[in-house]
Amino acid sequence: MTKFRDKSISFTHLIPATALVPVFLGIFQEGIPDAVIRAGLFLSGSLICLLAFLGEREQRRRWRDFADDICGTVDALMDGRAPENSHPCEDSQEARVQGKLLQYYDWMQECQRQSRQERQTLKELVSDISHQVKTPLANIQMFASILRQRRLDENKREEFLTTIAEQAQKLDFLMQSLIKMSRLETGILVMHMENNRLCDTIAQALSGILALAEQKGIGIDVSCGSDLMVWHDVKWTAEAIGNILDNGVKYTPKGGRISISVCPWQFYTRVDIADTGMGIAAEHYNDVFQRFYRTRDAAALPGVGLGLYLARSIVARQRGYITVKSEIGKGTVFSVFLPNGAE
Amino acid sequence: MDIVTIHALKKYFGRGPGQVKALDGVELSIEKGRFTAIVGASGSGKTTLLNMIGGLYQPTEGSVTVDGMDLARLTEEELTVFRRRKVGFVFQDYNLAPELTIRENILLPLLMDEARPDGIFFSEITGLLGLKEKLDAFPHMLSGGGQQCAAIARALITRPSIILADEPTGSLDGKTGQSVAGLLKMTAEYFHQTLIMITHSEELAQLADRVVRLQDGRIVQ
Repeated sequence: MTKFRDKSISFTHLIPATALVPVFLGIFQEGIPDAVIRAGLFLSGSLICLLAFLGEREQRRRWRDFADDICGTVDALMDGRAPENSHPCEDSQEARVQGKLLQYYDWMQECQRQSRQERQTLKELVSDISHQVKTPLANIQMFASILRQRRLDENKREEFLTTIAEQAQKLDFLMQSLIKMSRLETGILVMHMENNRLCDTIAQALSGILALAEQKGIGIDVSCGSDLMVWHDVKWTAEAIGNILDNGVKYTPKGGRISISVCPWQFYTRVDIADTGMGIAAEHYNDVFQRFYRTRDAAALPGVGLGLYLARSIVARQRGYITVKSEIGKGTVFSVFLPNGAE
Repeated sequence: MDIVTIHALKKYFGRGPGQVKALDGVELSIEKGRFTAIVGASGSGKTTLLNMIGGLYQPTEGSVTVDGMDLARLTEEELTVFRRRKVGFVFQDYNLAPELTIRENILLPLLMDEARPDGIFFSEITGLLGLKEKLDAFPHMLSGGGQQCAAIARALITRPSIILADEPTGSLDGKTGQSVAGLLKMTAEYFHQTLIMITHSEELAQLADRVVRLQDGRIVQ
């Protein structure tokens, strides 16, 4: 700004300084004998000086008006009111700067709103989790109390102890998920993005579900180039793919099939995870990624409705996305899109 | 906070028995910073609705307010400035100037506004869209997907309040279309932009935070 002002002063002073030359020539130059020419030089020089003076005054006035407008806008924004005389769609430099200031103010407001929303989400998350924790805790307390107070036969005892163990397992799962979710939601989780072999990540994801798949007689086939390198966080991507696979195994009947295929595209690498499970109705495609959402058909099976929510959050943190395509009774395909490139 | 508010919007083309009711009483609010997909069959009024949000058409009845401005109250000159500064357009057929390089195409909206480019922002956008190596190439030297990425960068460069994408994947094959839609979503999220995209693909609509369905000029969902 200072630089500009210095420049402007030197420029505005250059014109009258130059104009003074004919003025002095008109007064003092004896080499110009004609009085009319001398008078003409004097008058034209004086006129240029006058015009330069008026021009400079006008320029100063314009700058003052511009500064007043901008200061007025900033003052209004600081007071939380709409700026007066704001014409963001006027084709002028004042309007352009004013528009940018308003945009900046909006952006600040938006950041504040997002921060409030994040706090609210976290509050809801804690509330959701505590609600989810209540049932297994109550079950553990109830069965423990029965075991302590009543004499039960060995079979009944075993049954109650198994229930307690299952409920404790559910609690443990919920707690683990809570930790992961809170780290994702609060943004404190740092993704370690590196160029890694995607087939290794898929193998890591598969390791968590192989036992259950074998138990249910579900066949698994994988089609992924062994040398395909993709920019991703191995641990968290394996968690995301693992959650989708876990979902697939859970909702695919005995003897079904799960297929994983990888296809490198121009901008993304697509990982399709297809199962031959019960399928999802089209109107629930977005719902299945919501926290604690479970379709009516899935409610009878174990699970809390966090896996897909976590999977989507993890993939989104890596600037990727997940889509779903399904047919009721035939199966579902979840497609994970991981961006190519090391940006 | 809503960035677009549409109230009782009607847009009729022509008169008499041949009159076409492109939009017939649309009520819609779009939240700032969100990705909204507008879906519907051909002739349902999707493009008319998008063009009205972009200030390209004047309503027959009703109002369209974008970023606090009632578009019907703006003069033609103000609407031009509105489109230049507040809206980023992404079209189906890219609309890149063939005689300009990718760099020049991206910077074109800033030149029209006599604004100086922000080097860091330019570098960020081109990096995200994978254009850094192609900045000195001409549009015909790029694939369809690459050209659409350049068009997205051009839409983002002025930091507009809203990005309007009219079937941005319509000229691309399924794979590239899916990728470009993903990139559009990702960049809009990254720069906290409001994105409104027209699509007839249910698969692409899944990427949006909200899906608006149009049928015969009315919102059905």
